[in-house]
Amino acid sequence: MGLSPLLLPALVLIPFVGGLLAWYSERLSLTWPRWIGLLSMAATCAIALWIWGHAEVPAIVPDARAPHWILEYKLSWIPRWGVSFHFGIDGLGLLMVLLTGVLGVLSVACSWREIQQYVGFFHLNLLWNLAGVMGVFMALDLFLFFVLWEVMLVPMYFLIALWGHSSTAGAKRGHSRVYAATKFFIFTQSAGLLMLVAMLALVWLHQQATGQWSFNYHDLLYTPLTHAQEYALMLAFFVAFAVKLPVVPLHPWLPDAHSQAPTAGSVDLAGILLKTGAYGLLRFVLPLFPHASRDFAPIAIGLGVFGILYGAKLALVQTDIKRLVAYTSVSHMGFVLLGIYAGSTIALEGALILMLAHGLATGGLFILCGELYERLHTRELGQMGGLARRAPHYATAVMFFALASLGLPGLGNFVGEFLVLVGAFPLRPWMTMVAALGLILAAVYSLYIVQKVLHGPPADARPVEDLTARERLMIGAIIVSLLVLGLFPQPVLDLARGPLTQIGEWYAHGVPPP
Amino acid sequence: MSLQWQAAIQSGAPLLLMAAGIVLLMLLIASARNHRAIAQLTTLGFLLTFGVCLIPQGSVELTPLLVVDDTARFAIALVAAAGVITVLLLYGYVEAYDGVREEMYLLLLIAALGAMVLACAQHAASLLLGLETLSVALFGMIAYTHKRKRSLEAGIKYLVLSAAASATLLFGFALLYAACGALQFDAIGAALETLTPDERAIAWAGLALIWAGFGFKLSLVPFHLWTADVYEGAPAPVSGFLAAVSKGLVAVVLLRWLSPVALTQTPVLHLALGGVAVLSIVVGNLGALQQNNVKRVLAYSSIAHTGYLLVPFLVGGVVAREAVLVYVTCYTVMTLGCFGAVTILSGPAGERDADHLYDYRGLFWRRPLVTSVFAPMLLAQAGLPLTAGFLAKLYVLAAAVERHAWWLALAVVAGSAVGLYYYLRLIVVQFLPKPGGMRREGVLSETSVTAGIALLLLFVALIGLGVQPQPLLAGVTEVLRLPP
Repeated sequence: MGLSPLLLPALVLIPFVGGLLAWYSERLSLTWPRWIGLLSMAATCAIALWIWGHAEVPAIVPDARAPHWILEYKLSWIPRWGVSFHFGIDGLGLLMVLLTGVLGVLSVACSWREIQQYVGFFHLNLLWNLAGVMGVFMALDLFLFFVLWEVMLVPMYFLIALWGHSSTAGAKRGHSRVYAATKFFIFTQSAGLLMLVAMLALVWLHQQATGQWSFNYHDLLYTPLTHAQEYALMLAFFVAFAVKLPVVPLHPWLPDAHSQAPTAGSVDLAGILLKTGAYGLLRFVLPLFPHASRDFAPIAIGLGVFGILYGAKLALVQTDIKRLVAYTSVSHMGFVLLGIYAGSTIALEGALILMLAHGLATGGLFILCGELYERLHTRELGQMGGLARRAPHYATAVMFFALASLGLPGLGNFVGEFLVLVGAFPLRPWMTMVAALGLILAAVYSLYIVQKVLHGPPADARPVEDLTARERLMIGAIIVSLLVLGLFPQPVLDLARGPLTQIGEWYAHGVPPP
Repeated sequence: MSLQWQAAIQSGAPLLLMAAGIVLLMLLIASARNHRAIAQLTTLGFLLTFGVCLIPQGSVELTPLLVVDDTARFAIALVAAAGVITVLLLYGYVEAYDGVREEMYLLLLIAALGAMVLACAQHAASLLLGLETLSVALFGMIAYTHKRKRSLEAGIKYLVLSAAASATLLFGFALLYAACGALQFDAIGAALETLTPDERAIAWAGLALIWAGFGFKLSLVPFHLWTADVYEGAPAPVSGFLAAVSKGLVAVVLLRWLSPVALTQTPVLHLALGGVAVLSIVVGNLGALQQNNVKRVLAYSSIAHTGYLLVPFLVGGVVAREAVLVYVTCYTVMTLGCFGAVTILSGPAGERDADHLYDYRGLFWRRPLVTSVFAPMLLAQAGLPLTAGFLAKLYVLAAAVERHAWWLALAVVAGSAVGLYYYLRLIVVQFLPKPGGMRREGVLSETSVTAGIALLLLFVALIGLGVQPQPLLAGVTEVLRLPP
């Protein structure tokens, strides 16, 4: 089999080097950075697809004792602490990497006209952020994971702080894009440091038990912990990932960051960065602390269900279209949290599909918001209206993504939400029923967008440019992917079934000793 | 006999080299002033000292006052490296100064010699000797641009408060001597264990006073009041040297002090110092939030940093000892880097250095290379991975976790979270557009190149330590390995 383990570091290095090249090439021409960005992200997509095509995914679920990786790459780094460059990829990681690649291409493409200032530096930040995310989805060494976790923050901070726009609602309260960026950074970083302390504690406990320093996922999986220790460590990890997801009391950074970020930043945040939180829960919290997670599940599910309703409710009262979409993300991520902590294979699969579909659909919606802002120079819903007649192609696209967001059968989101609810119902019937109410609210806010933006009297009589060829291509690609995910989800489910079942098993019964 | 002499000369070589350099420099200045030659000579002296420290040797006692072991050599090498960087930074700054220039290097060498004596001190007398040599030279360096009001004020403030701190330290040692009858660290530690209750009260009072003296030098709360004013008033390269070397070497000598005189013997003091650490973190970070002056921000952040640095001293243990050396090394790099960036934008002309936040607006577009160094330095101070700052913070947290000092770990985490705000503010302002000033600035000249080399070296060290820390960690482990 011709799969080289070097493909994994390549997935991180390509955007990293691409970013440097893009920065430098700004001197030659403003178009160069864009093409370099586009090509490097396309290359990562190609690598991810190549791995998928050549991967040997066992038809039966592997033995639950040790994790199974399609590809693994390991290089010693800091022997003093047992730290290594350890990447590994399984079906779950591969799908997230692919999503990152696809949304990376879209982020570069959607900035083609929007970003006219400091183009090279913009692409440097965008690509480094994506490189960090790629690494996060593959890191199997906790130290490396933390490093990459932080590496993706700094460029994101710059994306919001330098190329963001100050929302009208925000400006009234004296909130600028720098404010939003700083809030985002402090929320994630302080929760991250908490996780670092927990990591060190876990590593130290492992050292006490075995006499060996190691940050390796494989080693730490079998660390003997007392219940109190497990619970405390689990909480610290949970908080770090919950800030990213976001889980409701920890979400205040999200609406500000989303609405103030440039389009590419919003796509990146909603589509990919939120998923790192869910991925962290799946990859680290459930396997490393299964018993504590099980005890914590009622609270986590309660928070998830509350988030579904709370996000949807707040979405309904927004007047800024990007804030509205941001709050719908809070709502959708509630479903993901519900699916993860329900823990059955079906629910986990649902959570995964929902993550992918939400990344695409919300990415699409944010791109459309960005296009609208370029045309109308406002994000206030009150100043839109009548776009159905003024820009019919645009209107169709908005309609499609609104329907995707409300969970129309045939599209990816429906599959995800349906599987989550089906998987969670036997375990937590009451909570699931309350969560299902969120679907009704989703229909309300989605149609509210459609009503406000597309119909009604236009705020002014200016003609509005319809979608350009580049935009049609982008939107078309997302629409096709969502349809494929909705109509033929089986290949995706097959790819991730092994790891997800294993995680579900560990969560239900604890990790058996090797 | 001659063999013994040879060993003594070999191990004492760094100190001898420094002392010889000082005399030579003084004679040269007296005969003919030549700024460039003096700067080159100083650099050479530091480089030689650095090189001598790399020669592996055993641990040698030079008189009961000084011991030159691996820890001392490590610290001396650090001082010498910091000295080279400081000379490179000073060169441009002093070149533009319209007074006598050469004495600055003399003072720098004397301060470095004091710091090196401190690194070897195992006796109260040598500790005070080193500390005073360091401080007295620093008064001169801080007030070097004495036509500036703030510089002079800072010098006098440091003089008065430093003298008070030295007096406290001296009184503390006197009390300790009264109780224990010893001044050598080991002997003090041994004597402390066999004291009668009456003597113990005196000894504890002495220890508390000694810690107050150290607290001043480390600018721990509540002995921190001088920090912001002195950092602001001193010429930028001097602030960097003061922050990095004077604090770092006091930390090293504390390491030596604490191995016999463990804090666990004095639970009250231990508890009080825990409070001091937390207070320093809180006051340093909250104080930095209020500042609009870059040098003052850095001063308050250094107070917070010493708060973090105190944590490994408090918890003790193997990892903690490593943590101190790692922290001091990383902190030296970051601090010199930050003040180096301020230096490159400043000059001795005018009433102040480039230390207002507004001076940094749009810096990335005007001086991209300076920002490319300054921004990572600030991120490192905030403790972001792939920089030396993360390594330092990681070690502090690891030391705290190892000894279950959860409150201290939490204080470090909370402090770092608050710290992000002002570091980020300082970073982002460099990227924001400056109306009417977006054109490339900076000219290529001898002075800008020397300062540029210094910044480049620091940048390489910063990222090198962050990406590939194994050599430093192995070195630190080796240095601290107890003799068999």
